[in-house]
Amino acid sequence: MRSQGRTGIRRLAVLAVFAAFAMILSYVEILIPFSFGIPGIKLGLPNLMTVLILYIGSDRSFSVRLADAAIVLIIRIVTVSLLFTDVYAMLYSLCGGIISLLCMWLLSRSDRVSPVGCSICGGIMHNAGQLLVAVAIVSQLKLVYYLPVLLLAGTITGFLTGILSGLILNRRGVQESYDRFFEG
Amino acid sequence: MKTKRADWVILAVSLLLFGGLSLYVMFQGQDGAYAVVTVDGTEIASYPLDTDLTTVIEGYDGGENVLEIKDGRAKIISADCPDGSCTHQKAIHADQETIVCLPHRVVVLIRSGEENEIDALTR
Repeated sequence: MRSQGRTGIRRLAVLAVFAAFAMILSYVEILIPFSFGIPGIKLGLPNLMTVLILYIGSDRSFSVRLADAAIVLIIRIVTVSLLFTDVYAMLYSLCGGIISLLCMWLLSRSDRVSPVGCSICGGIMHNAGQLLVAVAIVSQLKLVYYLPVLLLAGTITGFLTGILSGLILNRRGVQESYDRFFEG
Repeated sequence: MKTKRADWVILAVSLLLFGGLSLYVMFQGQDGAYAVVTVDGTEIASYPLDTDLTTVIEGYDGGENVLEIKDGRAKIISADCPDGSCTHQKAIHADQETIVCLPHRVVVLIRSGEENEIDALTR
């Protein structure tokens, strides 16, 4: 990315829009009752935003993609937890979100994986991260009993958000208008 | 940006892992005999599954979960936690199955009848 100044302000504006959209997705997710009866498993709609930020635009280095996605992720989780849920939920989301972001970022660097595969791994890792916090807090959980349903939930939700983000990225004009916003 | 072969490999591996793990969990389950209640890591009570009862568990932070044992199965039937996800978890009976209430740090764990000596020593 070019130096500070105008580009920095544009980046700030874009990230603010992304963060707002991620918050809306989080809120929608809270409104939809979706539970396997297992703590920490969610639909993963906000994951869509993370995938989009990792893949959108052509003139961005991989470290900038990671930084952008991390900023939006953390803003989203902190604000949504304070507004709608509680501090425990924030802890789970943060751990799951950061692990899944790192995993997806690594995969997004590879040309052989599209957003779909990336998002599946992200979904699984998100649930795995949340389970880790649950195990750390409750310390009695038998991990193996939660793994299957956690894997399946992560795979399905990750697959769906991956397809969705692929559709968005493939729409004509999405990448171009993002690039054009940073030109000049 | 079309889907690539690696995507389907990832999908297949995840589903296979799911299949394998669920088979493993299904087949190693044997019936348990006790419901052991733990709050914040310390064991507070243990109830035999063959006698029906309803009791209140006092969780961390003063929260309350109502545990019901009926027909050899344990279930949390009500709780005053904000999400109430423990009440949605299905009734448990097999060895090592658990119901968890995270806000109150309550774990209900099913144990088999014969107490393992190593377990008893290390606890």
